[in-house]
Amino acid sequence: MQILLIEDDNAVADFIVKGLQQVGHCIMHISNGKQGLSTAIDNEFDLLIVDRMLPELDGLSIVKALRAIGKDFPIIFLSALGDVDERVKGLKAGGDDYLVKPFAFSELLARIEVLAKRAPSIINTKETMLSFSDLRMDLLKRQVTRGGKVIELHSKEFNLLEKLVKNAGQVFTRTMLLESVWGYHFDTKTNVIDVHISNLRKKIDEGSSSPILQTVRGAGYKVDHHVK
Amino acid sequence: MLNSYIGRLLLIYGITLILVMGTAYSFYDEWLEPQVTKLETIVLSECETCSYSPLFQKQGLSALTIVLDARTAKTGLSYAIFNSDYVSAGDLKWANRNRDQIKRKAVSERGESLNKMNGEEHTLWRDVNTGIAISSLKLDKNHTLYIEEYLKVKPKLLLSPDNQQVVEDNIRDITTQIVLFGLLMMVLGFIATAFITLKIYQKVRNINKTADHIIKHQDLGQRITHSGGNNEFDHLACNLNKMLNKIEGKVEDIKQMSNNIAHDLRTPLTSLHNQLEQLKLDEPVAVSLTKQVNNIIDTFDSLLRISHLESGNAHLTKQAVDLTPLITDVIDLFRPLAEEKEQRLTMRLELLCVEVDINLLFQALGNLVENAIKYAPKNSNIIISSGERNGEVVVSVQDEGHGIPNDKLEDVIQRFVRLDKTRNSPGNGLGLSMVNAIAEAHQGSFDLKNVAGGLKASIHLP
Repeated sequence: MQILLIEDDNAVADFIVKGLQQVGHCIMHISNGKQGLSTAIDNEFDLLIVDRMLPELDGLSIVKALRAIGKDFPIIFLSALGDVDERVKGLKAGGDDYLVKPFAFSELLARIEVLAKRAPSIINTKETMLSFSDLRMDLLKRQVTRGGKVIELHSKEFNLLEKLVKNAGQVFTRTMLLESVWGYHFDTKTNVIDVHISNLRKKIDEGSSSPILQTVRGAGYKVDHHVK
Repeated sequence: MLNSYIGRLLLIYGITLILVMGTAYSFYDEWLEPQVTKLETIVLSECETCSYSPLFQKQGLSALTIVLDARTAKTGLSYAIFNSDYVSAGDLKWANRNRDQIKRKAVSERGESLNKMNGEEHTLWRDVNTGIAISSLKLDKNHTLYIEEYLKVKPKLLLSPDNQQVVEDNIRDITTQIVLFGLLMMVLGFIATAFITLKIYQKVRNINKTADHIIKHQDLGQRITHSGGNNEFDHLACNLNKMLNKIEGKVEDIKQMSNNIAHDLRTPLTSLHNQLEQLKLDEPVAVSLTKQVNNIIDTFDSLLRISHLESGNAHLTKQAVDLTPLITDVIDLFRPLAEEKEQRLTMRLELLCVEVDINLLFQALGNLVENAIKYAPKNSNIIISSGERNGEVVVSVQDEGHGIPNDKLEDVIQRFVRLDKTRNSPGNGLGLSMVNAIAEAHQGSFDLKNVAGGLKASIHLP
């Protein structure tokens, strides 16, 4: 994937560049706002990661300018400004996601991958049935079966599972799950999402020889095929 | 002085006062002057006057009349001799009417008795302004002589028992006038005071209105309107506006500074966090370090968010929402956590619509429920209720824990205040500060109360 990173802090930039190169992305780093904008206009990228505060031209203006000329690739904001209203400003300007510093690399990677897959999955939104391995989800009846056996889920557990199954193989961090399933941006000091996942796991994976709900160490959770 | 608002009002008051006093004075003059008959008189020597009494007693009325007639012819002086109440001789015109009138006239001319001559027998009233003097001389038991003369000496007041009553009457008259005049001044003073007070009130109310608006809407951009004049209130408004400009500037500075701190400190923290992340996570030291860095970052984030909310600069994305689904979402999120401690989360909700920033309200309620789960004992009830009280929407979270000592209720809302002095339990002591900041950012309030069987935390929203 061709990714452009506009970030003036070299330490953060180095770490992102190294990390993304390691997982096989092609990344270009620019530390100045104006140059960043012209590079983004002149070249084709699949994704843009942009800092909010930059020399010469700030991130918001860059994104507004890009959206105004019709560039529609996904954009992730990075920022030390973590307030909800800042977040809303970022998203209103045309950003697709907003990540507050400091963030774990796994969090960034997870979000990049969700955004990269977003475009083709639009067709899937009309689907009313989801399946993974021997798990079936009926989105209309809101019914889940595993190996033909009906599983009772709470409404939020169903939504969690739906999110994970729809994006099977994709890692979701705790914050991403909280944001996408509950729809609120919420800071918590507790392991509340872990408890939800463990309840969900008990219901769908208990007794199964091939558990599909997996924990990714230091990152989050995903639904994937069991690797022995 | 004329630039001063109060000065101008005082000037208006002063002019009114002078006008009123002038009117009163001229009224007084107009009223009394016509009663003074201006007569050409000459001054009699005191000795000469004194000799009239023995003359009368020795030679009788006719002899005195001859002497006085002779004097009158020479000097144009007027006189009258009373026998009891009747004029028995003399040409004093006004004396023909009656004796009382003479007495009253003598005193009401603002005359002053010059001297006491021959004991109580001879009294002299003199008017400083008109120069008219009337002397009375008791000739014998029945006869009194009144002579009108012209004054050249400044007289002194002298009262005799004879004119006592008249003077008292006049004093009563004057007292009545003073009282009436005083009343008039009081009424005018009251009107003037009311006028001044009203003017000042209007100016103060204008300033108050702006201050209220700033407090209520946390809008530091508001300024006091003034006429741009040069009086104290315009100066005050100008100075307050200058002060507001400065405060606004400082708040902006603080915002900028906290943003800079956020930017400058969070970025190295990010690096630290990332480098730790790249270490092997299995090593207990690395795990513990990552945890500690995360705690610092969390505390830091919460502090910045609270400061930002408290600065009044936070832009709330308010929307009218039904509280029920929002509270249901909070409960859905925390139910598994509560179930681990065998606690039951229940709702007692009224159907209420409020205008709030849902993310912030979710955060506030989340913090309260988190606290309740953390501090309430196992196998207990946590009740989330909403209702309307005194025009406010109140959302409460009530647990069955040990509560908080009454004298500490206010303290725990402060930043970093925790009842656990050893600070061993997880948390940074910012959760309730955050709730308070969120409530206040909505122009609401937050309070904690010990109720029967636990602690009740309530968010009041307008």
